[in-house]
Amino acid sequence: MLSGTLICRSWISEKRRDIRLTEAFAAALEQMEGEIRWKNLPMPRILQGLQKNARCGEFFQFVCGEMRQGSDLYDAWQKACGTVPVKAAEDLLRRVELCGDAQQIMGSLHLAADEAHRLAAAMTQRQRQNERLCMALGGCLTAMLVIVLI
Amino acid sequence: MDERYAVERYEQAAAILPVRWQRAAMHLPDWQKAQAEELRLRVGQPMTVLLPEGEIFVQQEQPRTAVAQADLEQLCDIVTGYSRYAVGDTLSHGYLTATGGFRVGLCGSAVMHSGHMTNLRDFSSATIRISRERIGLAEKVLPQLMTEGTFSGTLIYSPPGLGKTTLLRDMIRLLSDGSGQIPARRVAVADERGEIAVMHQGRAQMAVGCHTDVLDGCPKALAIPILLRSANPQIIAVDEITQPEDLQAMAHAANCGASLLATIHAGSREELEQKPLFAKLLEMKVFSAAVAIRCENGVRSYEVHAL
Repeated sequence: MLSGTLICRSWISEKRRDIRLTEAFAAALEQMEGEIRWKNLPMPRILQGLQKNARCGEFFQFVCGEMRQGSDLYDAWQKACGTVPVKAAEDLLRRVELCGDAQQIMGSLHLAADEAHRLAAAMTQRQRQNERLCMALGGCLTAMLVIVLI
Repeated sequence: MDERYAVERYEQAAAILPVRWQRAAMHLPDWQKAQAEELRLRVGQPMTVLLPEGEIFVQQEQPRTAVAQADLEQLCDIVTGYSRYAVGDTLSHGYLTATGGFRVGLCGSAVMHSGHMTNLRDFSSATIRISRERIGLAEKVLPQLMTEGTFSGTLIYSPPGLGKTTLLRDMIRLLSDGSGQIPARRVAVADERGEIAVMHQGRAQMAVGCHTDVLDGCPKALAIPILLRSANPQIIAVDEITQPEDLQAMAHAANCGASLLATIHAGSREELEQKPLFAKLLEMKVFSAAVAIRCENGVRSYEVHAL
């Protein structure tokens, strides 16, 4: 029972990390759109700034690292997507279009940020249900144990 | 000019080329690197370098590799950091400014909307101009432009490629820092193309003096009134007057008591006097002196005359 509890807790923590990571990507994509819209910053500066992000900074560090080694932005971005542990988040990041005029790029980032927010919300809802189920199961097992001991 | 510095600037310019052309460019001997003025890439032709005596092929051995269109696309991506959206304004004028202050001129097919070129596609050639600063270049010229310690509004003119911006930059530095009989002044620079001060994250990469304020990337006609309000300059410096709107802004600055320092394309005094813009300048009494840059047998000379 103890090991079951520990496994459950670890699983719940991992799912919560995935949700926070997805939310962090949503915020980062919004920030990218904002930097282009309000400051017209070139992509390398935007990516450099996002490297410091506590949750998804590693993704942008990977992109910048690949570009420093000579990869173009598209290839570096696609490679970095392969390092994202959340499959659904990886897929939406792969669909982001980073070439074209400012309107196209901002539009693509905006759509991706929206999709990431919706994904995080859906993951949160599923996670709450799963946590309730875990708690219910835990409660039942505890009650059974008490009955057996009695 | 220190040869080591001249070679370094060449190598910095070559570093923005696509990798396969970087290697070719680096094989040039140091003495040619020090003299190189431009690197030129034309689709279907081997890459060339412009020396004082003319263009030569970068690759000496045959067969020479031809530049591909993909090379120019890659050059544009490297220079813009894969962010062509961020340089739409300059790209629509046919040039980009690369890190280090190198101007990259582009030719290709114009994308037109309502009579204005909005973009370039299908690049056909690129020219990387290798700019170098020359500290001390203006030391003999500047004293001739001072009248009782006051700087006269000055116009620098020459044909393209003779170093107007290089002279302008050193004059800005001297006016800003002061030297001997020349008192230090507050200088404001409207650096529309980013080639004078070469700003990078707020810091000038070229020596422009310690009392200089730079507004980077803004058209001159907009930048001059902003600088008048924000920087309270004694001297305003701009590069390449080409538009009538620039003149209006400069006349306004002169009326506010600021002296002007600017450059303009003209092959000779006669050509300068035939330009309608110049006639306007004279009429507005914005400038009282001019510096003509000439080049004979690879040696530049600077002639100061009154306007």
